[in-house]
Amino acid sequence: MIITNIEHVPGKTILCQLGLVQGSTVRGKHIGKDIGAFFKGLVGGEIKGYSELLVEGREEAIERMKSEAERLGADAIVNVRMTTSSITGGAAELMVFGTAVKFEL
Amino acid sequence: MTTAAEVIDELNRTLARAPAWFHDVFGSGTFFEVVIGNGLQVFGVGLAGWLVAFWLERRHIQSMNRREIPLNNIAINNLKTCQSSEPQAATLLIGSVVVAHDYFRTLIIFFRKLVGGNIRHYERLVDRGRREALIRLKEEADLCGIDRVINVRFTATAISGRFLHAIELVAYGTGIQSGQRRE
Repeated sequence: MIITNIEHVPGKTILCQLGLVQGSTVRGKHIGKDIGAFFKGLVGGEIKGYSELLVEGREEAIERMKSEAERLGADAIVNVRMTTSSITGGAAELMVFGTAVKFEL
Repeated sequence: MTTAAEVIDELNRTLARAPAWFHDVFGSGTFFEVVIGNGLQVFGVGLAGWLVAFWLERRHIQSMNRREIPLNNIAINNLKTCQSSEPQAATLLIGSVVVAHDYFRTLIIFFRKLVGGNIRHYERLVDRGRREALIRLKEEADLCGIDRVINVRFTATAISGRFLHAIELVAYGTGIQSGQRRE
């Protein structure tokens, strides 16, 4: 599965569009990571616990998007966009969406 | 109708009734002595964190300066088409980082926001985070043997944890493998 955030796939011709595919996750870390983040907040800088959380969440969201595209029989997903939103304290929603397409043979 | 003196008296009496461990942890005395004594300690810890944050910020910028040099051969743009004549493969690349201020600077910003205008502290934090996100994107590209990243986009989101408010900065783009990598 090829994923790009441009409107085409370089070197391939798109045969047809199969529609919008998306994947999202809502993730929260256990309280220990939050306490760790609290102490990291004394000096500021990168909060590694939250960085990891969001990277994992985004991978999961991309996996879900891919499986939806595979169900449609797509070869690639183009024009992918990402959003993150803070739903409540200690949890974030990660959403990835794009258009599933099929290549010419 | 209770007066302020009565309220303070009541607080002092409540404090006197507090269990022994409370006095072990927070010290004893009148209500104001305890509040000011502990407040100063918290303020001191915050101030120390602020000073350490300066040092950490400088170290981070030095480390970014060092890491950027070998990644300079990766071409980055935000055009939707790739000019490369024979592109071979395309993949999505993501670099992200979550950054936050120390609590003391949050306090400074609170007062700064009363006046308004440019909040330099945030400008610096967001700049630093975005640069880090872009470096991570380039490092991922380097790992995949990609020398060109097109259609790069940036997003910033406020993340609220249970105790602190952080900013997530993401850079993402399409990596193009052109096959003729300059070493």
